[in-house]
Amino acid sequence: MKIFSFIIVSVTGLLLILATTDMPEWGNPFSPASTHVSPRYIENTVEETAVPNMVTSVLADYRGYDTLGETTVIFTAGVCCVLLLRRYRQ
Amino acid sequence: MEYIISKYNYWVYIMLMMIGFYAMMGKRNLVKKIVGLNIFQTSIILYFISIAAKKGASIPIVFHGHGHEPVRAFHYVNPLPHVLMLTAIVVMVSTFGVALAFIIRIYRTYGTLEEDEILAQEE
Amino acid sequence: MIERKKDLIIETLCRVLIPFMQVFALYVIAHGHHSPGGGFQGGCILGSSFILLCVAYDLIEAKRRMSEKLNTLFSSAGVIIFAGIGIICLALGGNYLDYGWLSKLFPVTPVDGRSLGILGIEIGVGFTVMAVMISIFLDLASKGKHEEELK
Repeated sequence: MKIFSFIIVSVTGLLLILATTDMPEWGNPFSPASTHVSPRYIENTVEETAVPNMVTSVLADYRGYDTLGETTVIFTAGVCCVLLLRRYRQ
Repeated sequence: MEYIISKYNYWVYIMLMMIGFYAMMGKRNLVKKIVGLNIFQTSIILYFISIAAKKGASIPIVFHGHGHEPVRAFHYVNPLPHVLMLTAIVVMVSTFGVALAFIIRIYRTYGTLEEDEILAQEE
Repeated sequence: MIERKKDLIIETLCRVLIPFMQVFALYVIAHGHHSPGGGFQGGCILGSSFILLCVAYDLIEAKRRMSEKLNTLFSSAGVIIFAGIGIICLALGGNYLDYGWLSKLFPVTPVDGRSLGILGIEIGVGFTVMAVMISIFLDLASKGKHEEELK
């Protein structure tokens, strides 16, 4: 079992390293992750939301709906632990 | 050779990912598998944060100097992957808590935490 | 059960440290606009201040400060605050979670209304994260037993 998993892990690692030949280099400001919608968030955060912290304004204002789903995920995890572990008096 | 040096962050995170992957598959104790899951998720989070970096840029908080010069996008680090990874960290902690609760229930039912002993008791 | 050894140094130190941790956590939540921080980070620090109380003292002492009923109330209140702000914005005429329309309720401009909405949301998230961290820790540490079996 250990030899089998070691072979699978090395094959997966080699495939992933082969995929990094296409990726942008580290620190490139024109990479596709930083050019489509992210400059709009950076340039308009103070005049549209009066919050200088870009991370908070994106998390709670521009992508606020995802944060609502996130809070529901944490709440559900708490409920799951209660259901699994608490024993009630009969 | 130079493409290894300019992209070495991807190589480091792929190595960390494969260490976590091997721990999830190759170990027999259940707690060690959960630790491997945690290492895997941490490496994914660090990988996304490394995508957001820009050369010579500052932290993603707008600096109010004297006077109001316009905010330019190449002075600041890309904030979108940071936001997505906040969510990912929270999901990591929630999964870890529920997995540990499962492990306590399995121990109560079977009396052991080794994978092959549990499978032997099931037959 | 296991006899608990009272250690005076740890008890005194934790008694001094826990209020400072809570004040710092409230500072991190409130200053999410101008410095790194926000709801998730402040909620984690609040939860860990309670976990320090559990580690230094007994689980029964800690459950006396924050019972499990109060805990579930806090976690539900956090989600209700978040969704409720969205519904208030919907009732005032805009889209769901469109905080600019909060300027009809409070005497602020629409831009400052968005800042106010962000602050309300971070408070709700802080409540939920704190309550769930405490709840998961209490469930895992006590293994579901009640107070009589813990002694």
